[in-house]
Amino acid sequence: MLSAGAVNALLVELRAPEVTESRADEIKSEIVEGHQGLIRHFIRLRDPQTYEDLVQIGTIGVLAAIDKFELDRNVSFGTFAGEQIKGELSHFYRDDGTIRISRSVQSHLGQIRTAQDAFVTQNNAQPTFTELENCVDLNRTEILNALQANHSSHYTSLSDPDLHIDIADSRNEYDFIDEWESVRPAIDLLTPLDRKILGMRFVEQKKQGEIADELNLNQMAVSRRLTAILEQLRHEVDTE
Amino acid sequence: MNPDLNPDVSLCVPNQAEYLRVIRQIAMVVGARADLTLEALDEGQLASDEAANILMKFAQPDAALHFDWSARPGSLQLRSRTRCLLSELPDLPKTLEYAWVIISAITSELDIYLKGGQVHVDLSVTSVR
Repeated sequence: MLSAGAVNALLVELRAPEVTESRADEIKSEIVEGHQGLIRHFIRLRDPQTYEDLVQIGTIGVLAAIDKFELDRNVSFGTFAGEQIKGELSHFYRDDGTIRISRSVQSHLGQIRTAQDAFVTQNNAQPTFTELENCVDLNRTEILNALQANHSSHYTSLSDPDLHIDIADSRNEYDFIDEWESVRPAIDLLTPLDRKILGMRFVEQKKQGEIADELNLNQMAVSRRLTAILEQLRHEVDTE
Repeated sequence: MNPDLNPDVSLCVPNQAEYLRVIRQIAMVVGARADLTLEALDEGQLASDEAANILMKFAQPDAALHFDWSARPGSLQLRSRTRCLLSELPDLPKTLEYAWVIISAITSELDIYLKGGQVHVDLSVTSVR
């Protein structure tokens, strides 16, 4: 992967008025080539039939990042390009039926979420695995598979109304300092909702159930968001 | 944490990030055996993942990572280890940065230490209702 400094130097050259068309193409190719590892990082399915398509889609994300990246932002190009790649892949996953989570697993997730909400309402406590198992018409393997799928980024990008709740910008609500310094650029790129969930869990030390109550979400939605957020933070560290 | 616990599942993998997925899946299955809540199941996976990342940070390049999970009612316990690059561990909060905040927040017990040339990460995650 190209260093942040090397990418910035290439972008400055690319945007200079005197750059020729052929040199501009060379620069774009060099940046795209230098971010193949990043594209692969975001492609989770290794199905050879779709893998090359996904690489192409990820490449579109890098090209979009080349156009949109602002050099004076306090964020590395890699972090910014990562967001663009994820965005392009999300569109693909949403629009292309072949990579969706199966309907049966979606249905199992729906059953689990409904049963969990009903249990919490009745008992004012989160169900254990066995209690949940007793409330749904699913076997252990089906429940475990569904919970695993709950963390799939593909599913996260799909039909999740929780992600669209309106929330005030929490940019300054939490001081992500000291231990958080190395991942501050990634935190700055999080949505207000994600920043709030991260702050509530790890600054305020609230449990997922409490966060779900306060934000009027289901615990599984909070869990899914936290997994995605921590993945983004780790990505920031890995690409530094 | 009882050091004499017989693990329910043991795993030994190369020091490579591609095995993290397997580690998370095993943590979930053992967590279900421990009858954790869904939140604790989730955090058991996350804690196992963070433990693996800590081991990878300090492991000798060719060293294998060893994991032993035990299911106890309402609690998932993990003992993990690998051959260490260092002769003594650095200041962990300073070195692990935000990962230290995360693993400290999600575990009910956490012990990271050096013994016999191996770095150990022992932890437990407990259901809180």
